[in-house]
Amino acid sequence: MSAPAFETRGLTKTYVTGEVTVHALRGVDLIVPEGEFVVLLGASGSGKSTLLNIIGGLDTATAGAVLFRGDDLTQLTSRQLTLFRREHVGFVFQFYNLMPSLTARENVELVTEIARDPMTAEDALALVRLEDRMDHFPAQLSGGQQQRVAIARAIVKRPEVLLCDEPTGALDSETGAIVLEALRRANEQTRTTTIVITHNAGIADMADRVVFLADGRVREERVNSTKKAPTEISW
Amino acid sequence: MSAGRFIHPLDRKLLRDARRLWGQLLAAAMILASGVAVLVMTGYLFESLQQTQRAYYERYNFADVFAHARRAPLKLGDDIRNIPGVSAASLRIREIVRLDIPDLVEPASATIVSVPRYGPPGVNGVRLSKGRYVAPGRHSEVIASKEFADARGLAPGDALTVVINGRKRDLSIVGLGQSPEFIYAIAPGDLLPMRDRYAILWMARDSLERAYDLDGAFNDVALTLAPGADAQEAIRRLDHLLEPYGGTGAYAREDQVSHAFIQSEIDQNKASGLILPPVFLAVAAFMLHVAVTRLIEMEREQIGLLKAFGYSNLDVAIHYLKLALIPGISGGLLGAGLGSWAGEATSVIYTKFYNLPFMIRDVPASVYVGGLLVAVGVCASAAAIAVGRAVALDPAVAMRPQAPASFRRGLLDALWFAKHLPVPVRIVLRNVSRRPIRAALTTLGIAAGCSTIVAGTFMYDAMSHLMDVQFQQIQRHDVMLTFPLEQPADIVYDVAHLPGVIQVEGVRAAPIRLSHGSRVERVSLQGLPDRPDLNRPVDADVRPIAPPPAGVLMSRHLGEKLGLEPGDTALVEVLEGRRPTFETQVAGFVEDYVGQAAYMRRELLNRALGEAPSISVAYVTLDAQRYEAFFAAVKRSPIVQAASIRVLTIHEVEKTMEANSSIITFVFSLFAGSICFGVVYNSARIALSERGRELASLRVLGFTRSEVSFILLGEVGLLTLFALPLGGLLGYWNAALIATLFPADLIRAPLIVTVERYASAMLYTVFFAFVSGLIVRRRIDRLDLVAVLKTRE
Ligand SMILES: Nc1ncnc2c1ncn2[C@@H]1O[C@H](COP(=O)(O)OP(=O)(O)O)[C@@H](O)[C@H]1O
Ligand SMILES: [Mg+2]
Repeated sequence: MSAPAFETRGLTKTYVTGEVTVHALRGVDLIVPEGEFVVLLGASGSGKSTLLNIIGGLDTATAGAVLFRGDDLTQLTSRQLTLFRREHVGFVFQFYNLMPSLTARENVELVTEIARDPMTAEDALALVRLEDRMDHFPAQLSGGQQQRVAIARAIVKRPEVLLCDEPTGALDSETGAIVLEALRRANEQTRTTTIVITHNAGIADMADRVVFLADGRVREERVNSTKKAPTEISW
Repeated sequence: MSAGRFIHPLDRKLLRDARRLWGQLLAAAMILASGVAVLVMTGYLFESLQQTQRAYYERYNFADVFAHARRAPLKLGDDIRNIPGVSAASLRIREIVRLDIPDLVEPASATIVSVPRYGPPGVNGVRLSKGRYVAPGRHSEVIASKEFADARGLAPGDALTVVINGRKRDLSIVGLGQSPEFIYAIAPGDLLPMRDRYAILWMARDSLERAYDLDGAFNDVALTLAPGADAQEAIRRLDHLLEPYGGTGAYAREDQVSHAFIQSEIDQNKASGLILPPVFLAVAAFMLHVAVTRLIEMEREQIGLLKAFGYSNLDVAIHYLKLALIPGISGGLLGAGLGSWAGEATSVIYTKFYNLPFMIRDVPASVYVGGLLVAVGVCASAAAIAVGRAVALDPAVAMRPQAPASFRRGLLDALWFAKHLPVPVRIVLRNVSRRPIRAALTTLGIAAGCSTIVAGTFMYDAMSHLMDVQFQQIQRHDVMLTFPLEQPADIVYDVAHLPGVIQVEGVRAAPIRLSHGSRVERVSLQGLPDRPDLNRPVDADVRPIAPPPAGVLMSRHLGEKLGLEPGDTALVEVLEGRRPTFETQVAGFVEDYVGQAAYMRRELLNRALGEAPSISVAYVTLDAQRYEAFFAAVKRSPIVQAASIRVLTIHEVEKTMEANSSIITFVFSLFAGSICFGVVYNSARIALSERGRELASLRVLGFTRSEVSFILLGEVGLLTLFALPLGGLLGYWNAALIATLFPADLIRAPLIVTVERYASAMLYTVFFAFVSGLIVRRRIDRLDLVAVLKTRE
């Protein structure tokens, strides 16, 4: 088997604020193979977002290493991290983080303009089934639609990895299912390594791999042999 | 236990808000302080100059009405004093004399004024700053003007040689004096005071009577009027009395040269205090309004919470008003302090420049309090509008998060090329068009800064144009010689024979009253040669125009004041000789910037006066090699009263301009810089606060700092670009406004702003905008990428 998409070794993150020291990650060792759909589960405060942010090059580790296809991200400068995000990573967040001044299409084009080999904004929006909402501004879209625009924006550059932090957190279950379906389709069609954080253990059934975090450590890791479709998942 | 426990929690929040917003509050406070400083400084100067002028005039009985005649009997004095409203009259002998100063190549001149034999004059008193009054019977004693003595290093006891009525006389300086009549002392034919070349000399009347053969006579009157007296009526009656004795027309204080200059200086000061401060105050108000509006927007939920807890609308309003008062009070105090310091410093300069004997600095507290109140008022009202909206917020609504900013496709998107613009450019354009009023006000603010530089430095261009037209195109002579009385026109041949003379041109100048309907102006009528060359009027395109065979030319300014157009008929009343009165056609207007005059052919004037061809002034060009020989000869000549030398005037003007210009440029650039800087900084900070989250998201997506900076700063950059032409236009208007502040009868600033001036103002503006952009950019670099993902705005 080739090198994994990500590998973390003894990843530690400590926040020091005043007199309080918070150990968000206490040595995480994790391997994420290429092309897998991975779900990160864990209680609130268990360190999921911190892990994802470090993997995505948004945050830096206190100790340990993160290898992306064998290269250590912890050695990169902030400028190199920016380039890493730009070239390899797609992000989806709980609060969509769209540009309110741009239409759906333009939000996606924002990325195609700086990407090396993007698909068209129209194709990306079609993937998330928003072909008929392309010229709407975020304020004119529902939460689920906004989140699907965010997914289109994340996948349009054909990223090697797609990182999603509670993408359904702000959505009702039905809409959440549509969003998850969009994510899975993207993973299947583009073979993008996808890591999704969620509170909902049910979602785990649609993943290749499920990782449980607790108190800054990996408590359990499980590989699914059969994946369910999002619509089959019980919420 | 800490003292903090006694501070109300809301006030603690206030202090934290203030600390967070310190950059914006400081920017607003500084701009406010600039405005208040100018307001207080000009207020200070106006008050102290005005009071000083009033006190000086009162203590030394400065006259209300002035008149000259050729030779009037002293017994006319009773009639003059009986004119209704006249409270006192000085009947004087007043003459221009040549001064012979050994270490000066050129001749200098003096106005010599008689003082009563015993005691000081009742009108136009003399203040002795050193030495003593002239003693009766000592005919060679003289009081010299302090300015002149200081400039030449003379003191009581020193000797002075003058040429009185063609004869050299050695005088002895016994005292140094100053008078409200000669605060601004300009020699005839000069443009500026030349302290070391022009003196005022006060001499006992009997000494002068003999020299000028004016026994029992006078040739100059100065009147003071009782309060409420009708000056025009007094002037009319005085004219009537003096007419048989060669009166040249009485005039009021407003037309007295020294007073007119001082008064215009005072008025100019007052007016300049009205131009700049409103700009500063408006800009500060706008900045503060935007800042408070943004703060309230961000604190919607907190406001809702406060109200839900039971805080009243008033409590909430006061809370935010207090924040606005921080820059209001600090900017006001700083401005008042700076203004009073600058006013004091400037008044010292004025005292020196005008040789005022004293300066009253009894500035009323209202000047300072007014400045402070203006500052506080501006801040409070700027905040009040924003606060009003916060107060009106229903608590339930306030606690709901604000809907995402809604955008629509705007006008910009209708343009065919909009689709082809890069997305970051589209973001910039949409943000500008989403808040058109704010964008317009920001543009206006930056434009105001730019215009301040244009207006502050436009005097360079105006003065260099003025100097070029006045001293290269109109006046082309080297020296202007003035004769005491009219001389036969043939005298030009004598002048031509003086060493070094290349060319001579004789002009007959006479005082006239020029009228059109009920409008009257007292000016000098210049009888020019048919083809004038050394002193030649020019038209609006700076092309020389010769006086026509019939009719008069006149300064455009004079024509406009009289409501005349070329082709109209004006009435000329010559105030000399047999005082002919005739109607004449206005043949055209002349473009000039100094003084005001009418021109006609010399023969016509000579003929009207019933005199043989004569002149009173000779314009001369010189061979530079023989400069000294020429003046040595002039000094020997008995009939040359004064010589005005063009290069000296040019030097003097350039000296004054250079001394002032670097300070003015510095101050205005500082002002303009603070406006541009403040507006751009404030606008970028607000944009960062509003869109920090968006920008951080872009950084997460892999946009570099420069790309993100472009989106944030592109907006102010674009507005700065819009502001540049607008700033140029506003600058031109401001310059026009400043030009109107000049004492137009004496000097007019041509409204000329060169391309270089616009270009440098715009460069400055871009520079200041750029620097403030860089400062805000540093904050973009520190955006917390992770934090924005965790929260919903
Ligand atoms: N910027 C920060 N400063 C201090 N502590 C933080 C910061 N970010 C996260 N933490 C702490 O780190 C721990 C892990 O947080 P996070 O990764 O956000 O958890 P999760 O996403 O699993 O809910 C928590 O205890 C949280 O309080
Ligand atoms: Mg989280």
